[in-house]
This record gives sequence, C-alpha cells and structure tokens, in this order.
Amino acid sequence: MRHLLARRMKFHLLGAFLVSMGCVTVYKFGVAEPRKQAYAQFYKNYDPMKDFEAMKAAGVLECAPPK
Amino acid sequence: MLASRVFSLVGRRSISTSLCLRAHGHAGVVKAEDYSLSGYVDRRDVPLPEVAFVRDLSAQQKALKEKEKASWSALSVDEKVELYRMKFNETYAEMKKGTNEWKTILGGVLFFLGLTGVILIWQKHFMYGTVPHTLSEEWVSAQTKRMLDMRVNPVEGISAQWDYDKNEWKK
Repeated sequence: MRHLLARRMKFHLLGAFLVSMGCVTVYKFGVAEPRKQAYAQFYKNYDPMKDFEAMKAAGVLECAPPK
Repeated sequence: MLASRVFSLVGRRSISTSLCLRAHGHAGVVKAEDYSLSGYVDRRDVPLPEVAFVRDLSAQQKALKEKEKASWSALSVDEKVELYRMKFNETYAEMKKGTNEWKTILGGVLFFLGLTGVILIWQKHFMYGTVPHTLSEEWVSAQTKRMLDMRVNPVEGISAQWDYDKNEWKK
C-alpha cells in the first residue's frame, strides 16, 4: 500500500529505458551495421562502365539501344 | 439489469457497486436515491471506503455490532472475521488476485480470426474471378528478368541475389 505509485513508476521508468536502449542496440547491430557493410562491399570493386555496357546489351536503355 | 449480468459473467471487477450487489443476490434493494449517496468500492488505493459493505444488518449482525462496542479481546476469531466481512467485501489478497478473463479474450480473438479466415477462403473460391494476366507465370518471369537486367536494388535487394556470371540465383 505504501509508495504504490513510486514503486510502480520506478519499475516502469527503468523498464522503459532498458527496453528502448535494447531496441536501439538490436537495430544498430542487426540492421544499420550490416547495411553499411553491404554498401561498402558493393562499391569496393564497382565498375560503372561495365555495368552500363551490360544494361545496354540487355536492351533496357531506351536512349542507348544495343547495336 | 443486463449490464449487471454482464459484470458477473466477465468476472470480478475492481469496482463493486450496489448494482453488482443486486446481480449477486445480496441483501438490499437499490432505490433511485441510492445513486446520489456514497457507494462502496473495492480498490487498492482506497483502504477505507466511505460506507460499509453490508448495509442492512440482520438481527444477528446487529447483536454482533453491539458486542463490538465492548472490549475487542472478548470477540472470538470467527466474530472478528464476520465483522470484517460486514465492513469489507474482498480482502486485499482477493482484490489483487487475477481473473481468468484473458483466456476468454484470447479464445474470442482467435475464434474471430479463424472465422475471418474461413470467410476469406470462401470468397476466393466462390466469389472472385481470375487474376489479371500480368500475374501469370510467364509474365512474372519476364518481369523479373527485366528487373535483373536493369540492376534493380543491386546492393541489398533482388539484383544482389542474382549471380550474373553463372546466370542463376545465388545460393
């Protein structure tokens, strides 16, 4: 009966803080970091001219048809 | 009256008004004036409600109330419990106890989800016509091929799953 609100508030404040911090850490290491790695990997050895020639040959570029 | 029946059906609530007393068949008929008077509540943060729980005492209970005016050490344990129950409806332990309401609610939710599923299946089978030709097997594969040629989402998306050297999906 004593400290009814204070006890509840303390529990929930701490819980809310931990849960939100947990969500942030999970997102950072589950989503954000892998995404940054993926982009770094992709652009490490990326040759745009080669990509362009491949797309042109496939015929998807209206202004640069395969000749 | 119907509302009080619903109260007793769903389970105990934290607020027990005189209307609920009627549903449980307790003593005391509720008159119109009673709604303007203070009521009894079972709440954790109200340790001493405005009125006692039992309003109209029987002769036996009245005698006990008289005995209460004398020394309390003269009262037996049963009499003390009876006096408590006259003043309060539930103990704190009883008040804080959980109900089984969640099972009813979960059951109801799942039932209606299932019913909705049945309705959707019936609709797909009996009501809807054929899907557009753009969802046929050939069209979708031609569409996917064009997406791969255009290098759609090459970093994390569909073109990243395709092996351009071996001309097949990556393992």
